[in-house]
Amino acid sequence: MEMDIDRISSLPEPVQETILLRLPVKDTIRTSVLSRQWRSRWANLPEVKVNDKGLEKDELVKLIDRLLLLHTGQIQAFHLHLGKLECFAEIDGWILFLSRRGVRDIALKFEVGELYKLPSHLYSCQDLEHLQVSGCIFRQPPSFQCFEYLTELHLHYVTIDPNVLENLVSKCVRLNGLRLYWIEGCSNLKIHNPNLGDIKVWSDFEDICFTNTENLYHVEIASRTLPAKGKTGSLVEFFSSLPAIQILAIDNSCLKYLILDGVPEIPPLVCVHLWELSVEVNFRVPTEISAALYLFKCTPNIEELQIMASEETTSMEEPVQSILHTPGIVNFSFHLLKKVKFIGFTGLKPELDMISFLLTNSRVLEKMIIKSTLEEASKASKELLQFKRASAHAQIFLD
Amino acid sequence: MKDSFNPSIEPPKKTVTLVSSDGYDFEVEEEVALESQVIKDGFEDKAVDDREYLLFNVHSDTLELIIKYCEKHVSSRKSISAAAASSSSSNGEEALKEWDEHFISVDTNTLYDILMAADYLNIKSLLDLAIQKVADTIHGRSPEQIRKKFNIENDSIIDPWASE
Repeated sequence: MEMDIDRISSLPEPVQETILLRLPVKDTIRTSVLSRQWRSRWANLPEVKVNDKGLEKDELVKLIDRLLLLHTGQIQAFHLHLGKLECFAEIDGWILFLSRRGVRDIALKFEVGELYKLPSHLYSCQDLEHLQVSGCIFRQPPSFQCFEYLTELHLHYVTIDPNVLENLVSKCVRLNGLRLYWIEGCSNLKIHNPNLGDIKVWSDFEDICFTNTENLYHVEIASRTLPAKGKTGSLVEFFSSLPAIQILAIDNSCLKYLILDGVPEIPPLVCVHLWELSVEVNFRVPTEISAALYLFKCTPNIEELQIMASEETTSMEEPVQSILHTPGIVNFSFHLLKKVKFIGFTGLKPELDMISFLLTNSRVLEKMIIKSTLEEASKASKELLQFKRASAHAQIFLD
Repeated sequence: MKDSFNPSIEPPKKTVTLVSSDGYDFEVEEEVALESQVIKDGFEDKAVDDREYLLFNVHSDTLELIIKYCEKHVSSRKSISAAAASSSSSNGEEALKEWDEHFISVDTNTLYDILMAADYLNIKSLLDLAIQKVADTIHGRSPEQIRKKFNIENDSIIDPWASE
């Protein structure tokens, strides 16, 4: 049944706005010819989000030129995603235009061709709160001070000089969330920002250093090149620079990096606020297992634990003695641990030991989930169902 | 089953009454009504014995649909979280999405009524669903097709200066 009267034109303005924002930009602009009432409606939309799906370069340029030219309101957000087109010079002009319109949110995602050199106009966008760039080269004009209001910075496939990155992070005082994925041109990561709350690093760095990061509560690090020769990581330093940490996720490279300097027998300080820990361990390497156990000692208040068995198939080092006899781990227990997830279980003896260790030392454990894709693991998993459990409520799920 | 262990212990479900613009009463469970942010916001301030809401902008035909939607979402949420708690794999979310899809496949007039009611009652997920449906309807259609679908009158003045 078709409509008898035109009701869509009389929908509340915010509803109409949301409808237009859900449409691909080509369709949005096309609504301007529907009727007089619709003519200028899209020109007030606060967000401009465009991708190159189904568009040739000339068409896309014409579309955005027209859109920016005719736009009458404030453009709070500008998102441009090129999935098949290479970057082109017109983008510089758009950023210049946006910098004069108080844009708060810019996302540039370029997937093909050469990296896009971000124009200096970007640094004049003084109202920026969110900046996300992908497939770009980040250069910083000498006169640049900071983005005063920037709270989120996401860099993916970005080439950036270490000093520029350090400067950018430390000078944007309101910065709260930082994502660094596949960064080029920068081997040492230095993070220095007292307001930063949340950092995710998936990139190959040789050294990672946090200073003055007393509000950082969520840290995720996956960096295959850690630990590099000649660099020293220190668990003590790492944790003392992160007094507020609540959630920590690290891969086994980072784990190895943290114990590079050796570990003091008694953990010098414990992360009292840390309640969620996720760690990757190669169960064929005894030092990694003991490093993980050591990490547990530093984080006695965790409530949720995720262990990922590394898929690296290094040959098994000398038969690992049962981890239950590792010095310093006797008389240890988790008093808050409720949930454990073990991913990539293959049935190795040290894995079984680890599970047994967790079951015997977690008094309030409610749930342990063991995920495995291997056939032979299912045999071993029958064995673990018979392990002694400290918690009367502990349930084990095999997946 | 844990629930059937001692059913007499469970308190009777609290209900509220929703009154449509054309004067029909709908008695629904409290948690179903609370899917509406507007009802939720005013809920605490309302007297306990006054559990009646006059919905001047919602016709009984639409209200029936809205209640059906809220009931489905409340019950699905429960079964999804129950499945998650026991870690059993469930396709609850997938099934709910399919149900939503089917639910919103209505004629344009009904879609409009749902949209207005969801906006008025502030039921975010339903408003989202309805808005997406309208956007999908517009997407890829020519202006003439859109005008026809939504009965929009083309009152644009033809610009005499426009070049051919």
